[in-house]
Amino acid sequence: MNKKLNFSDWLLFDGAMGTMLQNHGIKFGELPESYNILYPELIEKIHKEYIDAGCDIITTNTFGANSYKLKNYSYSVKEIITSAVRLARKAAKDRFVALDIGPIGQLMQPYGTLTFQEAYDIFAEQVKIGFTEGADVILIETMSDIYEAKAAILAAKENSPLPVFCTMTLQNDGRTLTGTDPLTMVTVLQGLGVDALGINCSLGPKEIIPQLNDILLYSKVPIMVQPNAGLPEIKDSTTIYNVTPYEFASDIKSIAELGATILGGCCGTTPEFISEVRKALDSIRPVSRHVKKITAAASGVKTEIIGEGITIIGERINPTGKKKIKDALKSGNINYLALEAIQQKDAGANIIDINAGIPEIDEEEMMVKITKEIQSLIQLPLQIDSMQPKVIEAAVRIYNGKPIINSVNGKKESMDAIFPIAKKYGALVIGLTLDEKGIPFKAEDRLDVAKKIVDCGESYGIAREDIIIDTLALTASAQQDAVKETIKAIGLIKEELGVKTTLGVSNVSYGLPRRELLNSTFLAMALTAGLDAPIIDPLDEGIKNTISSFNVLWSYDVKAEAYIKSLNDKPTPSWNLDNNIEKSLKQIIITGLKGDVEKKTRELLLNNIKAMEIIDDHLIPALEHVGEEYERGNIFLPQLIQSAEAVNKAFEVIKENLSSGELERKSNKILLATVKGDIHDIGKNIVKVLLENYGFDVIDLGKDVASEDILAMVQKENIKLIGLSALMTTTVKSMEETITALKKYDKECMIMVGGAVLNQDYSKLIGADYYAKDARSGVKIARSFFNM
Amino acid sequence: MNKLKKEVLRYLAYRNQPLDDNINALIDSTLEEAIALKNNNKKYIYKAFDFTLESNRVLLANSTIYLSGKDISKHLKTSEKCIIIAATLGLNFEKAINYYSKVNLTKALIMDACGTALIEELCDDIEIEISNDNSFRDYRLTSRYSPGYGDFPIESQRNIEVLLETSKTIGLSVTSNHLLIPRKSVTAIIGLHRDKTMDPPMNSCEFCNDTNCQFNCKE
Repeated sequence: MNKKLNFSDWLLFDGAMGTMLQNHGIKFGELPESYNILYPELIEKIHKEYIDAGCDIITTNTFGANSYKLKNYSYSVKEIITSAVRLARKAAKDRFVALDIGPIGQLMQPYGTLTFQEAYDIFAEQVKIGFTEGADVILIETMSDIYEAKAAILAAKENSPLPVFCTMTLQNDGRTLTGTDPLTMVTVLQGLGVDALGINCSLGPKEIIPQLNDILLYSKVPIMVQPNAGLPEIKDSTTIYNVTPYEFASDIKSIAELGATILGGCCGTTPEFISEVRKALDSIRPVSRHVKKITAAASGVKTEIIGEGITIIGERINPTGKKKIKDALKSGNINYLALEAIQQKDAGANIIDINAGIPEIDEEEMMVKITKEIQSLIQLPLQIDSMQPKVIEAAVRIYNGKPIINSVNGKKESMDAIFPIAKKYGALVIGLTLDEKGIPFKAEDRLDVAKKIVDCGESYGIAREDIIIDTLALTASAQQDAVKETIKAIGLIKEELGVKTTLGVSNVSYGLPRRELLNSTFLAMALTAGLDAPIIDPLDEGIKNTISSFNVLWSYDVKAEAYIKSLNDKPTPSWNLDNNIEKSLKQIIITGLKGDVEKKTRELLLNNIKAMEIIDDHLIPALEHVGEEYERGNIFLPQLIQSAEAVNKAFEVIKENLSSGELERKSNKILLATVKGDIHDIGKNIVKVLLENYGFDVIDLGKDVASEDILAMVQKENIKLIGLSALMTTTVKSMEETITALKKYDKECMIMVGGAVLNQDYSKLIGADYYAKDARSGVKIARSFFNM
Repeated sequence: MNKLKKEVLRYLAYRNQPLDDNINALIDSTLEEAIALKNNNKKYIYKAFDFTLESNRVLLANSTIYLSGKDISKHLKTSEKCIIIAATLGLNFEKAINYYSKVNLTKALIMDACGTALIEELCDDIEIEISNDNSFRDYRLTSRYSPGYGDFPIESQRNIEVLLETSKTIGLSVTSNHLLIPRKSVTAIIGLHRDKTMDPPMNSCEFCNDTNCQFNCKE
């Protein structure tokens, strides 16, 4: 096929293949794609009917032709796709053939078990075969999960030169089933470089119209719409659609008049529908849309537009000058870093910066891990911060959404390394106003560097709205006069280049006393000059106050509502210490008053009570007490856990206030994991908290953990006691495999298991050494194992 | 105490211990949050099928799909049709449990129990909807029967996914280990029959073979 797609005219797709097959009597459970091989004449006939109805592009019968869905059938992906494309090609003649790619049918990590790479490989196989057989377009459609769409788009673009169209399917609430809204869809998909994007399936044309608003407003690429023939209604086992071909066509005409140019039908539509649509489209011409350009970062479910109010970028996950972050990075304590992200979110951050750059670790591996973990917990977009292009690329590749890259600068080497990554993955990128000659002193010269960055970005195909300029704060103690230039440069660059700006604020006060005063004032100056996205510590009270008052004075906070509210909202701890002040720490823990534990522990330490004394007089007796009460049935599980969490909180406070070595808790290592294939990990998490109470050094590998990963950690850390959990009968199999692998490596390493379907006999059967019926018995096993 | 909270406590293996204000308030606020999540995110779908009963399997009409096992055949013995249901509290519920596992494990545990109680409640609501549905008004309903009960294989989750296209229609998928994701989801079969002598539906615990169960539902 040599004809080129003409995006300036209508492109009419066909209707539903599935509906046509149902009309021809396909049964539930039959594989629609097998008809390419079993009944090729039928498939060809359907394609021809759509062509006769006037469509420009026909879609191959390959919606579910992926290796996951075909696993239980006797056909290979190659057989199915090859036959499907050949049939379509034969029928199409001078029309176009789109290789149809639907969702895999499995949920991806972190909620499901399919990895990004597995999804990518599944799609890549489809793309390669489709391209070889002569498809003209890759159509990725009916996507609910934008992360899966990303895997498919990358697979399409890295394995073929064909244009890529991508449509997602929205529910009545205006989001996909995994939570993506239309604006986020546009932001992410067009960043990834699709040639067309839009909506299909789930809804009829009338319901789709209101969902198109943001897409019509923001999409820089052509918009594609393939509605169902109305909302589905189920009658017994059949799904029926009630919109007539004529109504459908008239609604499609309205959609076309709004600015969509690539149209067609989904479930319930037949050649009759397409024929009516053809007639309707032939009577009008495509309309041009006004596209609003925005600077926006996104996660999979949320878009942050920069330049509409202040965007706070949280800076805390950065090891520079922060011992705790450094330690967490060194020891792989992802949990600590994730909690830092959550804290910043709660303090009002809009975007979280992540920097994992310490020399002692594999920065790439760590950056990928942190990015995944934080994305599984919070919805904010992330900013990937590294000096190394390969770290940046690894993280933005597996990132779900449109990230910010921090950073590129005016050096040729930097731009040549970073811009291709930003372009390929559709990231925003921060450009630092420095180049081979260093940081220019004068604002005008920083503007020149910024201009060079923006121009070079554009030469790489990066729109200027995807570049954010950092005018660089220098320290007032060393270069006092340069501070003004930084501020001046903000206004200058915004005006001359029309780009958004960012600034790491706290650097300005380095080396001076009362840094918070300087930081707040500098921030206010920068915001007045037009700073859009300060990179700050959102937990810093001074910074917080500056922002909330600036928002009033700059009319962002209309009627000062948020400001007044924040002043009236006194921090209310869930449990008021005043009532409990007389209680001992031990009593507070027994009652499970987590909020009070921290205060009380600090109070004891301030009164010069020794750490060991607190542990021996309060923590251990409290633990023993609740443990016994639980075993006697006097309290139930949530109460036990609440006290256990309180004990860990007390330990945290104690550790913070100790110089290293003062608190000698012998570190007995225990590895915990929920086995491969299983995602029920709450029981394992409970065991972890209790074990930590008793001072065990718990290495928690999380859920759905492959036996190789468990074995690797056991070898690396020389671990002798391993706890495995599995909740389902189907995953006990993978528990057994893990045990076999571990025992093969080291007969001496002992394994305790737990989970709802296990019991003493069953656990023996699969080769475990101990069966823990609940978390308490897990602790007992561990204590006796280590002779405690 | 309302029925739902009682159910939540049951899933938390509660045995009438004194509930202090602290834990009681946490349960109440978590349940409230869970109910809101359910109301905003719940999704379900069901279809009715004719079927042919064979000795140890059920063949669904107009399909190539069998429901296998003696137990499901027995369950549908007097039924003329069966309804296949899939219901989920949605991915946001999953996300909430996951989130609280990191910041407040006690709350995560309670949220998890709320999810179990609420997905059962949703299934009860669906049954009411079915019994009020005009197209089924001549029938009585058997209890719900799910993959994994008796000898009805857990692998049947996949068949139900195919029949109802749950991945596309309600966002419910099945892993290669036959786990439902989101986890707070249920698939089930209900028979439609006209046998007035048959006992009213049993609680699903009646089918359960778990001798270790800590939820004391039979007490």
